[in-house]
Amino acid sequence: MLKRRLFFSAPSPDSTSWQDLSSPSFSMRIFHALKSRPSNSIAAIYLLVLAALCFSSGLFVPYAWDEIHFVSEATGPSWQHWFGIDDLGRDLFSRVLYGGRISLSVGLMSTSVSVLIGISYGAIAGYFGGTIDRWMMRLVDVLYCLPYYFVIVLVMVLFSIDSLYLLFVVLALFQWLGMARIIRGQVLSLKEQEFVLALRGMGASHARIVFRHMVPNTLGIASVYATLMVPGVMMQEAFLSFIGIPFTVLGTDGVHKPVASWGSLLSEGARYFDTAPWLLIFPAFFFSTTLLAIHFLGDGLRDALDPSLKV
Amino acid sequence: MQEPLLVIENLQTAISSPRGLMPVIDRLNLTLEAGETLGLIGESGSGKTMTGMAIMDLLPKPQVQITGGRLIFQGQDLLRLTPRERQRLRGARISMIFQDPMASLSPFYTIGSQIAEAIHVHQYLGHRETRRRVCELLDDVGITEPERRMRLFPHQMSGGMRQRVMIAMALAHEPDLLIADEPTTALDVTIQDQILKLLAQKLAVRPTMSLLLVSHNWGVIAALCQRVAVMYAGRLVEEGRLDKLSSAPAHPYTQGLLDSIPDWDHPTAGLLPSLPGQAPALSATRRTRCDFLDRCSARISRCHTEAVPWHSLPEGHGVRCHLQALSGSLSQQEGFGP
Repeated sequence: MLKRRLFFSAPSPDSTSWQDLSSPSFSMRIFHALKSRPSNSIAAIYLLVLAALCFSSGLFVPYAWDEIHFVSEATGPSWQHWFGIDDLGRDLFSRVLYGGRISLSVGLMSTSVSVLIGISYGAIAGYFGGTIDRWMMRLVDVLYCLPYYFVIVLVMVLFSIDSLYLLFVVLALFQWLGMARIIRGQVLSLKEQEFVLALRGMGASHARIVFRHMVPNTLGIASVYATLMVPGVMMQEAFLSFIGIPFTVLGTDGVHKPVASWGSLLSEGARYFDTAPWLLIFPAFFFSTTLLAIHFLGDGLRDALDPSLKV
Repeated sequence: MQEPLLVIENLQTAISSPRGLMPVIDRLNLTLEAGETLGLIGESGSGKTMTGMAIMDLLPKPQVQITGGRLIFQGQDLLRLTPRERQRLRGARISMIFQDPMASLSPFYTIGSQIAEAIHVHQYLGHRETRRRVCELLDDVGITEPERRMRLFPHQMSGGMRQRVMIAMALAHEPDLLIADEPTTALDVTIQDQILKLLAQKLAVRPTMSLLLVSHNWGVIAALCQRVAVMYAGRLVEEGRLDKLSSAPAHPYTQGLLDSIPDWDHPTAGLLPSLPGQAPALSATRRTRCDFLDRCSARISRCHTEAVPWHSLPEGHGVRCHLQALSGSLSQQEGFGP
């Protein structure tokens, strides 16, 4: 009796709310992933605030990043200059925020470019397979083998360009390789599914299948990998700046000047660490906390989007 | 007389393997009139799905090749068309329903947007018009509340519903030829019945649409088809009207297939008869003898040595069996036993 009642009291399809049935969208899943762990939400908020401060710093900081105050030597933090003044008399607070803008843009720009290249390249290689795949992936292998710090230096010497935009491009040119490999692997297994055959059967072109069906299905993994790529790119930029490769940008007075990225600030700070430690401490603090926050975000995304890792 | 919708002429396919090309389909000849329903039956590996795929141009390219023959669809040879032109036919003039509705829909999009895509591949409609058409198609295949259900993802639907969606997508452009490759195999029996009824209803609504139904299930074929072609080891062994074939099969293989169907009215004592042995494995060279020889209970001496010709019988009936040369019809012979 009880059994029967239980059976009939099961909700009929009509009474079920359709909202409950529809699966959460991609962006909702990411949002829930960030909310589910405090470390993730703290990381996300920290990054948002920091990015907002960096990118709007031109509006509220009292001094320009390259404005020189004529003092005899580097001075420590004060009410006038919160983070102190560097050896050339420039306000470090402005420089750190400005440097954040540069470092974050390098990270984001290079990552987006390499995500675009990597996903398309990997999806095409994986989908078409055979000879196309072999040649495309051999090219990736060759590029992987290049010692690219040297290539970057070489490119700069050859073309005698030291613009920051070159850095964006060059970093992206080497970053997409890993992405291409991951996406190719995903697409290799994805294209064997029957829905691909069904799509061919309804007359869909290869391009449509690759870009409307293969690529979106790999976005979960791609977004995790891309998030983890950002700190990698920022580290590389910092390394290049640290070893003294001078990238320049247009200064506020219209003169090309060595860029004040977090990497170059660290490089300068390290030089004067014994006499002016604040020059190293402030940029290092923001640089490392930012990297940490992005890593937290990446891990959170992976947990949310990769069902095989769900606990 | 009107020209047939599809003529398959001496179609030959082969699988390329390390040991060279292995022939699969051997000189297959079939004709499908407009509005006709033809069932293609045979066991796994007999080449029936490959025939459907060859018509669709969906054979996995380097591994499976068409090595000869012609596929004449509406007067033009499909094998001479460019891949682009074949693509334009697919889903528009020739549609296919696949075996597994669980896997045939992309998990990433709602079924509404997938049907919309099936429309947009061949025809551009505005947003509003597309939406109306999607609702109409869903409604046509018996899915109630299409406005709401088009927002569902495939994993939220049952197998039967998904197969209905697949049918809706296949019919989106009112094709002239519908190829159904085991459309009910992955479904449970009650749903199979519903899907078959739905297909029968669609065929009744559009009398000019032809159906090529690929199945290993005689019941499914009997439910929908006027004519049946039996394939064995890549060759056509018998072809004819459904009633003719089921009442008076001329080939021992067809006889064996029919015998292995349980008959509720005249239950057999003991085990249900089954064909002994297995279909021959692929080999690089075709033997001249009969393919069915090892499993045949009615074999005669010339089956071992001579290639079997196609014997045409009245009423479009035809069979590939030596016994046919001996007597008019096998059904007149007393039994099939040794």
